[in-house]
This record gives sequence, C-alpha cells and structure tokens, in this order.
Amino acid sequence: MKYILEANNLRKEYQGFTLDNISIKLVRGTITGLIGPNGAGKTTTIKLIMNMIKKNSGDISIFGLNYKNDEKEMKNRIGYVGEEQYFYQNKTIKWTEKFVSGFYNNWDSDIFSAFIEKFQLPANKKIKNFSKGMKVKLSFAVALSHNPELLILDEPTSGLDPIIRREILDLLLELKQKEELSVFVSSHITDDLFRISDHISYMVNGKIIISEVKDELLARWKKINYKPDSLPEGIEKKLMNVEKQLFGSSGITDKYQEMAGSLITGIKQGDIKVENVGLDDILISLVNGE
Amino acid sequence: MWKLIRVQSLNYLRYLIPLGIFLIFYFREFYQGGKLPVFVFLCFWAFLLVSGSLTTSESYEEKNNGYEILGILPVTNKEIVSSKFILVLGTVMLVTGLNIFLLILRTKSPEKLNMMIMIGLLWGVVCLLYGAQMYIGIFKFGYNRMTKYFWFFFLIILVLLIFFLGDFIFPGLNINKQAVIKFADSRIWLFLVPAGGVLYCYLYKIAVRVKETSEEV
Repeated sequence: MKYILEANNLRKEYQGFTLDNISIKLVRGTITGLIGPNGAGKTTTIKLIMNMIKKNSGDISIFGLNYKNDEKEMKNRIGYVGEEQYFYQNKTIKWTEKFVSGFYNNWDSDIFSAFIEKFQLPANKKIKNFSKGMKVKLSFAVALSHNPELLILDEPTSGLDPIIRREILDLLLELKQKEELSVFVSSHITDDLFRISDHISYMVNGKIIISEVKDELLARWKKINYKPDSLPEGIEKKLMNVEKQLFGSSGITDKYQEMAGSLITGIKQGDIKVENVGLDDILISLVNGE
Repeated sequence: MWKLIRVQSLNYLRYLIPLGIFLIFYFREFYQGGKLPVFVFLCFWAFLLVSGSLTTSESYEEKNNGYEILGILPVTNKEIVSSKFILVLGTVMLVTGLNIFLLILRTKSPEKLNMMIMIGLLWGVVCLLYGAQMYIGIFKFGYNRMTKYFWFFFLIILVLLIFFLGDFIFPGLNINKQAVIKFADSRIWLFLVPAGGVLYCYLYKIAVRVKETSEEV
C-alpha cells in the first residue's frame, strides 16, 4: 500500500462555506503540510479525516481501512493533536494517562513517562492550571504513546511562544527520522512547515489549489526582480504580486522553469535577478490570485 | 466500553446531594415504615436521581469537552451510546429494585403491595424512557439546547405523577384512585414493563443513528 492516507473528493457544506472536492494522498513515512490562511478549511479537512464531523460526500481511507467498518482500529493507529487541547480539566496527568491508556491496544506507559519527563510536565498538577504550551506538550505525549503510524496535527504550534514552538518542531524533526511514522500537519505558520515538510498542499477558500513535493514546488516558484523594461515581452503578464517601483520591480511566478531560458540574457546583464521564494510568498500569491 | 461505563458512572455519582437525600429517606423508610405516600415520594425521587445524574454527568462532559476527547480515542459512537444507555438502565434498575425490595419487606397488605409494585415498575419504565429521549436530544441538539427543555419534561413528569398518584400523595383529592386500583388489579400493566423495555431498545437504536449522523462528535 503506497498511501497511508487517501481522501478523494471530500465535500463538506456549511452555511456560507463549502469545502469542495478535497483530495489528499499521503505517502507512508513522509510529512505533508497543509498551508492556508485562517478560514481556508484546514481544520474542517482534518476533522473530516478524523471522522469528527460528517462529510457530505467523498471517501476517506486510512491504512486501507474505512471509518464505517474499522473506526476503532484506525484510531488505534492514529495520533492526533488538535488546535484546541481537550482534557478533563480537574484531573492530573496521572489520571489522564490511566483514562486514555485503557482505550488503546498498544499503549506504552514507558514512552508516555519519557515524554512527560522530557517536557518537564508536572504529573500531579491539575490540567486546568496548565499553560497552553503545557497542554500542547501533553497532547503530543498522549498522541505518541500508543505508537501511532499516522500523526495528524491541526495547527499544533498556533498560539505558542517561540521557545515551545521550537521544542515542538524539534520533536517533529526527530520523529521524521523514524521513517515508519507519517505526519499530516496543518498550519498557517509557513516557516514551521518549511522546516519539517516533504510535501506541501495549499488550501484557499475550501479548495486545495496546489499539492506538490516541497523541493519541486520551490524550484517552480521564484521571485523575479527586474529593472524597468528589462523583461522579455509577455513575461510580466505571467507574474503574480507585481510590485512596481521607480528603479525596479518584482513579481512571483510559478512557471520559472518554463521562462528561465528567456531570462538568461537579462540575468547575465544584471537587469534581472531571480530569488527563491518562501512558502508564505506562494500563499500570498495564491490568496491574491483567487 | 466497560471503561467508558466505569468513568461515566463516576460522573453519575457527582449528583451527591439528591443521592444523599434519597438514601436518607430510603433508610428512614426501611427502618420505620412501608407507607404508600413515602413510597410514591421515593419513586419520584428515583426519577429525580436518574434525570439529575444524567444531567450532571452530561454537564460535566460538556464542560470538559468530553465528546471531543472521545472523538479522538478509539471508541465508536455505538459504544458511547451503549455506555450511556447501560448506565441509565443500571441506575433505574438499582433504584427501582431498591424501592420494590423495600416494599416487599415492609408492606403487609397484599392488595397494597400489588399496587405499589405496579407503581414502582411503571415508574421505572418512565425513568428509563425519559433517560433515552434525553440522550437522543443531547446527541441531536447538544447538551446546552437540551437543558432548556429539561424543565418542560420535568413538569410533564410532575403532572403525570400528580394525575395518577395524587390521590395517594394527598389523600382526599380523589382524582382517579379507584381507576388506579382497578388497573393494578387487572394486571394489564404487567405487559407495559416489557413493552417499555422494547421501546427502550428501539430508542437506543435511534440514539445510535442520531449520534452517528450528528454534526458534532
């Protein structure tokens, strides 16, 4: 089985918003990042994948199984960290472990204890007194202690300070080394996804617009800085987010490989400069292009 | 599923004050009496205990986003619904059983005993069906919307209680005492208990369907 997660033509209708024709394929052992602005439909997509909301149409297959027949087995093999961390607030980590572990077939208390120690979480303090960062760490500890094959993360670093964000990203990079774990992670913090993802999907207004291997995506998208009238004819029209200034302009293209040949002269003369773009530049271009 | 039942039964025990009052009256009655009005009161209290425990438990789940927590865990909707229904059934059987045990132990008159067993069992059925419809409502509309209707259902039960048993609670009212005694003698009510059980199973199936198709986890 090539894909650990396969979603085809998912549709979810809300009043005023529709998630339409969403297809996702997640290759085993890879990290896929889902990027999109707030309200694009990332959380809805993840909740559909987790079977936490009901789809209007489409199919979801995880590990080759479907929710209708195999929900328990699927969730036994999935680790999930949501944007909001839900725990029984008056309980401690000890109680939470006792509660959660009873549901999983392959819960490993040693792994859980190791994470609690690594994250320096107080085992006997009530969860209602935890900070957001502590709750996120606890969520990761819970999500990873039953040896999941697929980790689904919905904006895991949103609202965290840079230190905890870095800790979480380091953890994800560490997990990336274990090739048996696949990760599907949504975020609007593009820097985070740039660091960890192998594959990137862009979602805007309830649709996935791009889904591509990160390196290929970044090779295709470039920022062109050019002096006035230095671009060959027709090229400027193909640029997005064009910013014209007195001594030079810039624009972004997703067809750099096609136009590279025609830009060589200008590049040699120093009238045109080509820069790599960040994932957020692409996001802004896509949002503006919609 | 037993794990779920165990955790949720602890939530049921949060309803401590009414549980305490029920037990105080129960033991007071156990040692002192066997009088019908007190028994009717115990039945009414059994309803309060079932409905209150259910509401307290769901309020706790709502406060802690319990259904969201379960939505992440390897638990099916069917198991969630089953655990709730088993818990309601268990609570009703326990309080009804206690009431009837008390009656058999304390009541000397066979006529009175027959009628009181009928009251106890049918009241148990009412509690059971009340619990089932509350859960269907909670799964369909959510706890917060359902609590708005709680007092409405409570009033209906109260009116039913006074209509059928008012004569026994307040002697002299004379609403329909003879009709109730006649109905108890007819033994038709014996069919109402299994019928209530069948209806409860049917409502369970509806609840599973509602939970599986409801928008939220």
